[in-house]
Amino acid sequence: MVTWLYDCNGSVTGGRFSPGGDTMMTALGWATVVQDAAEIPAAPTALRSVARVVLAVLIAVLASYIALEQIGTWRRRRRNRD
Amino acid sequence: MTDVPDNPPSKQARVRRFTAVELAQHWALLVTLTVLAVTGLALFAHGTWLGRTLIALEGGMETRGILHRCFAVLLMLIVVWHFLYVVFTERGHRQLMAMLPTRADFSAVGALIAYYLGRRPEPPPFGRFTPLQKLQYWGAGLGSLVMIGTGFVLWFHTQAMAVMPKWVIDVTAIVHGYEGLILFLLLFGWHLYIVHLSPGNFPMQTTFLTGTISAERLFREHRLEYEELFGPEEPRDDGERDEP
Repeated sequence: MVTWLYDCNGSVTGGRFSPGGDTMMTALGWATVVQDAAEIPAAPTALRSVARVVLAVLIAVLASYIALEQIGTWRRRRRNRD
Repeated sequence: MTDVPDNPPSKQARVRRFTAVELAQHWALLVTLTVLAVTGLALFAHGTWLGRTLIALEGGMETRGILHRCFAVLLMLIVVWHFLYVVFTERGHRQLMAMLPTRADFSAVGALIAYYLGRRPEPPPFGRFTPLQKLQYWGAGLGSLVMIGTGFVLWFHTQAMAVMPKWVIDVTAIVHGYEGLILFLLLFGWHLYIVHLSPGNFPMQTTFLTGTISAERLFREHRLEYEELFGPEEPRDDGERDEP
């Protein structure tokens, strides 16, 4: 039952839990949240945004490296041929 | 092929670079991370056609989850195996020491970029591992540890929720998903490109199959290691063309 605390993306979509709460309490907590959507705690969208920025920077760095190597090699080969 | 060919070696002479155990670890990691990436990507992109296709191919959500967890256990075993190898064997320990980043690596990256920009006639001389190889090793190694740690929390989320606040579970889920994507890009994008698709390596470098490298390539790409083995003299040209 607790499995349904996660959406298909693996994110926790709601619940009211505190340290020390037991399994039954978490399951009951989910049942309560379903009935009152306004009580669902906000998902950490800021962290998700940071993760996306990190990913975008990594992709940009990797793409730049590949472009730099490809263009550099192409120019050197052309120069050597000439 | 001998472990140390004549001095100076011919360009085509094969030099042992990785042992059978190291190749086995690489293969085990390759298979495990591939399955983990495919089963993980299916969940990460479940709302897209790609995710739905992968989930269907993997036999549905439940089978996908079982597969992912089985291979996660395999990944943990590989990490333990590798840890024991680099800590308790002389050869493994030397490999680990050679993998440690040094100050020279940072200047070498700058020199490599200058070479690509045409401001240096030759690439900088590298030792046993290039700075990019080190970056990939530590990225994959530390990334795997993060994936294992966060994966454990998600796997045993019921127990985790009993002792952790909700935000930790939220953060863990996000870190696991995005770190997985970063690892995927690092290994299946960048590593694959550098090893097999980059100029001079295309269409495939055979070291991951044989554990050996040609003396010519060793001289060109790992000059410092070549000089340690054979001295400063270039490999002799026997007239045959080198293979990648």
